[in-house]
Amino acid sequence: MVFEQDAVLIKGLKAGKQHYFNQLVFKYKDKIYNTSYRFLADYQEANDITQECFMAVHKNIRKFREESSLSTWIYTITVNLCKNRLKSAGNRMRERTLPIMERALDIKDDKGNPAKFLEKKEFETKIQAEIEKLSSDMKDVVILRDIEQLSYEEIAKILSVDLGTVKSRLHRARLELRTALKEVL
Amino acid sequence: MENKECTGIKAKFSDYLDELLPESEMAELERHIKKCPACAAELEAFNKTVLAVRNLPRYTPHINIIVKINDRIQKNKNWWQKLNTKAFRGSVGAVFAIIIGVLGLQYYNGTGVAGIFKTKEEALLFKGGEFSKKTEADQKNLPAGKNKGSDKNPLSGKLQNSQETSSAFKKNNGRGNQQAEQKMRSSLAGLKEEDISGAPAPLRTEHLIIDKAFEQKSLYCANSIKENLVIKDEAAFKKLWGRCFDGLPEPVIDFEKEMLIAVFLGMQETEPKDVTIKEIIPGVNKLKINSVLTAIINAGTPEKKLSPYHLKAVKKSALEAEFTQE
Repeated sequence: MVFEQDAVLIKGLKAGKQHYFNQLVFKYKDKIYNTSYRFLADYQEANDITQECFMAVHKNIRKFREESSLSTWIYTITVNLCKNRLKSAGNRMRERTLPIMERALDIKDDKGNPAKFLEKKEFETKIQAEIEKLSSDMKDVVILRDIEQLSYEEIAKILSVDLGTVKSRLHRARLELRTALKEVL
Repeated sequence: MENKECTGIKAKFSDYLDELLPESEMAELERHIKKCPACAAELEAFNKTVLAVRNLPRYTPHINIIVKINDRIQKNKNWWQKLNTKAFRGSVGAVFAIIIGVLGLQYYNGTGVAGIFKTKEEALLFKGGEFSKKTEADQKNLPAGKNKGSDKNPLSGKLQNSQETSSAFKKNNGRGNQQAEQKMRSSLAGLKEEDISGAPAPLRTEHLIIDKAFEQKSLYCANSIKENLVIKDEAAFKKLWGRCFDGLPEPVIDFEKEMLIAVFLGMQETEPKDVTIKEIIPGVNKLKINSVLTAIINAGTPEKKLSPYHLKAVKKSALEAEFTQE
């Protein structure tokens, strides 16, 4: 699917055109959903955060002064929503929902080999668990850099820190992960 | 055994993998890796970790998420935001267009947009080309208790004996307070009748009209001669005033900027008529002054002789006056 440039989307969104909002959702929904999932490790929560993020974009687009890119602004909203969700007491008490849809898709990818699927899933679960164990600051940079593959500059803007801080946090996070995953890698 | 150099090299692994190191440092790190198997193994493990995280599967939301988002946006909208649809905006626009159209039409026809915002009485006066002083004069006829309106016109009080409105003669029943009230009511009623009959059309003076300029109209004056006059100086006005309204205080007219147009019908014996200046139109060479005659159905005061007239001050004009009557 070919999407409009962000500048065109912003103009259309500010003019209140629904067509552009739908395009924006299609363009960014996967990124937001995946980021939220890696923060919260819960499909339902990721779904909720994705919806809330787009609602916030819809509500505040006229206030968006374009000092950063649209992508940076959307990621900032997503990270903040995820952090707030993690802080909430309800989040710590809840049971996580199972990834039924994605599981089914993975089985299909592995051509119906359950053993391979389980092995792969176990490995992924281990990595996800170790990411969750990281401190909040390190988790942010790992998700944004290694999973979302954003640039250091973009990460610095999203987290409102300088480039050096991003680098050092990322290095420490990778070292921690390397130590934790020594046995499975 | 890890030495100082190895510690320094390991600290650069992250930047090395992200290709952020300067070329010299990159070459130095690669040289060290070649000669140090421990660091090489460590770099490989580090790289594997980063790749494992990078290769985590990417998840996507269900396709219907867009429907859910739009549903939630709709639910969270305030009532005025829900109203702000294309259809609603169109309807509001259409209503405004109609209002502007009606006001514009009224303005174009000369009925006066201001008239809409005035009281019924004022609006009627405005519409009929009548003047407010006439009503004020009528109000003076009311007993003190009934007359609550402020009367700033010095003329109106003193003119009450000689300047009874035409409508006052159309209805001549009752005495005392009742009579005075009747006069007040009939003044409005009379104006309404005139308006409905369509005899005196709205006054058209085009560029000559002056706000709050002197205007006077009645059925009685001392002038028994039919004549049409344009008075342009104080002396002529004093002479006319003395001849027609002797004993009454003169109104103030600025003859530097204004002139007075006077239409006298003279003594009305059989089939009495009233006169109203309908139009004052400045043409190329002449100033056309058109007045209309209306029949007085029931004068009701046979002891008084009718001499209707209409005086109106307008902007001074050098054009020659041409009087016509309908």
